[in-house]
Amino acid sequence: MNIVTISQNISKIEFALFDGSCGEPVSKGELKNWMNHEIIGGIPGKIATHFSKSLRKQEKTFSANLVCIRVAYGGQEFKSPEIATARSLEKLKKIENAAPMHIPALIELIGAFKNYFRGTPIALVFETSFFTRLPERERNYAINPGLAKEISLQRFGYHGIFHERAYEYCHEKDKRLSRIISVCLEPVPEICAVMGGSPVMVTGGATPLEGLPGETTCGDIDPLIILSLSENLGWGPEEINNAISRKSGIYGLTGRKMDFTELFSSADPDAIFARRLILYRMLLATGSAIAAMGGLDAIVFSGRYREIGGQIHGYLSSKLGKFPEKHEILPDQLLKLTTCSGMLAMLKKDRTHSQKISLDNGYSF
Amino acid sequence: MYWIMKAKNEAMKDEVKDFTQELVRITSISLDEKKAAEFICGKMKELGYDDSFIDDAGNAVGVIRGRESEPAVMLNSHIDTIAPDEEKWSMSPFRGIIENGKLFGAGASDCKGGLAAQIYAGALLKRSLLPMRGHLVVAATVAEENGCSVGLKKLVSSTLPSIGIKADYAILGEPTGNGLYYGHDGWVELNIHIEGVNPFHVSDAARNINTDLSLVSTIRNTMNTPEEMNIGHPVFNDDSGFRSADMRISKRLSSAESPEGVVSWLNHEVAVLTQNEKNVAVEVAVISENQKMYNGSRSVVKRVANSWQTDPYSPLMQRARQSLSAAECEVRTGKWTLGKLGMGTAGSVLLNEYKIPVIGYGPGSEDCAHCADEYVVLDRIYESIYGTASIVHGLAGIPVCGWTSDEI
Repeated sequence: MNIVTISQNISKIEFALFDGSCGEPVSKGELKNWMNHEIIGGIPGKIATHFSKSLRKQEKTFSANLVCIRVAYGGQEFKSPEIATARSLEKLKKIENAAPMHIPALIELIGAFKNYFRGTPIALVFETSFFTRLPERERNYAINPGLAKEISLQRFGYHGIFHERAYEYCHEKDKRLSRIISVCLEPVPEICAVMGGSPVMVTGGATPLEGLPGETTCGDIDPLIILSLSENLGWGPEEINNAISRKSGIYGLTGRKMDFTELFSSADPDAIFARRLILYRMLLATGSAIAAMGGLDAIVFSGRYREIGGQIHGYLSSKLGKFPEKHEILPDQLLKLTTCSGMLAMLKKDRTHSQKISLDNGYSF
Repeated sequence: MYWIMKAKNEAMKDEVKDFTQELVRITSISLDEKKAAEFICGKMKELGYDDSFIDDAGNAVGVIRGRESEPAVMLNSHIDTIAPDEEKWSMSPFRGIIENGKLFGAGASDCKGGLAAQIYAGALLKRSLLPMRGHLVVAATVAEENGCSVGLKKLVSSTLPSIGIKADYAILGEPTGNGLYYGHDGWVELNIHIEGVNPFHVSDAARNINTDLSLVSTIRNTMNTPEEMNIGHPVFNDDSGFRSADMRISKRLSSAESPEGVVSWLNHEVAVLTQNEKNVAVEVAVISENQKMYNGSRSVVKRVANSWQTDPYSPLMQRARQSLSAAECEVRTGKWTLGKLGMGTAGSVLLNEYKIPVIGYGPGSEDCAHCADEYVVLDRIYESIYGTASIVHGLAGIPVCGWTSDEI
């Protein structure tokens, strides 16, 4: 069975093709600046051409049995992976206000894939589904509940796929490992405490801005800083948002665009300061995670910058007593793994649905 | 958000240029805008507006529906142009010639460049996949130059209510050089009618009035820039055996003046001037005209444009300034100077009559309006599309705060 995985962000779409085995992708690639330059209707064709060319070299032909798309938001409505249907698209449309840069583009993208890969099921996998299991004390902010409900103010994390797999990965290796800290090293990094398979603490918030500083994001700040920018400088919400989500973090501290790999190898004084600051914030978050779980069995690093996990682990171990000596690095096939397990769970739940999909596409889990 | 809009805007440039050029090539002198209105309506349909239609007044209207009904933003520019004095032009005013990045033609600056920018601002928001909270209306209205905004009045009083929309804010695409303008002086056109039994008495009275008011006008125009008063020559009516004469006067209206006040002042002036002319009657009145629109409907319009000013610290101006600043556009505020009497915008109709807060933001240059070899700089149109879309999103878009980092 061939699974096409699609992970889209504002700046790029990463795609990969997996065959029946759970190994590395057969082919992968990315489309940069897709929201700026691409005509969305043409994207599936470009991806299919990429796969076809790459498979031709291996004397294979390209076909897809399942397309799996990562969705940044929507866990409240979608508790597990779901096949994209007219109903699910309608549900997505209803929550577009909550993630307005992502969901409208996603809906267009799903339409384009449905149109191109006619008859092939499209599975949607939600980063935030995992966090609907956060304990109430972690999920809620200390603000008036009526107000929080009115504009849906509650905490989520935004790398649920990574964190869920991090726990499963450790637990599969050793059943005794049940208190895991998952450090997802993406451009907006996130630390999550997972206990017994459920999240108990996460650095993400009502939007991806809360938590650890990222490549361009500020992370946690005093809310009054925002009011000060408005009161003292007369800035509107858009300008403040630009400042804290696109001109802060590593970029704000060093004055130049720099990713985490570069930050952790740079000798530039500004970069050294930024690195210290971010490591310190990670230390505080790790301490919170340990406190939330009452201990720690394992720490797992994942995400595109997972290689710097070793350095981070070294720093954290030097600061925290009784810290696990060993850390794990998560393999890079999350979307496929999550889709498979999610789909499997869904198919078990709904036999009628599963039979229909099996017949149409000739695959089974 | 802004970088996506910038890139999409960049990709639309050729399309925008072609559309604006074609629009300039279509003659649309006041009260003869049918062809241009149909062209605009077709373009809005093609660009994916949720609705686009021509209303009963002949205005071309495009709507992009938001998730909620409020706030609704109306972008408004007029389709019509004044009749160009072709002898003064160094080229045909209807060929849409492009030279050195400037598009020349009747109405290029006032206000087809602004209209194109507003139509494509809606398209830019759609193409950037930015969902709207409130509705966006793009209204290309008729009979502004020679109809005292009859088209706009029908739009606001009849068309918009019929589709369930009430405009909360309006942005005019009139020439501001992409500055944020919030008002201008008004003007009134008056007629002094002199009537008597003896043609010689009528003639003497008319000449006295003309000489005296011309002196007042010269003094006022010397003391004030721009032009303050314009006194026409008396026209003697031969059908009455020269027993009556009419004199046309244009007068600028400051924010402290009203047309009624000017009529009262002028009545007093002419009464003093003709106090010794016992055999003539003099009457001052605001000029009214019967206008026939291109679709055959008729309206009586008074030749008055009141001064208007939106509070420069109003929420509309504040959000417009903030949005432009966030979008890294130039933020320049000011008011139109209206160098010539008789020029104006529909701002007074929107603000004074319908209480809709209004500002101007358009790519044209005020100095070019109503002039020979009128032009608009194409780059200014592209900037205006982006700036207008940013303001509209700031006013009625769904906020994207917290979701704008390149990657999550």
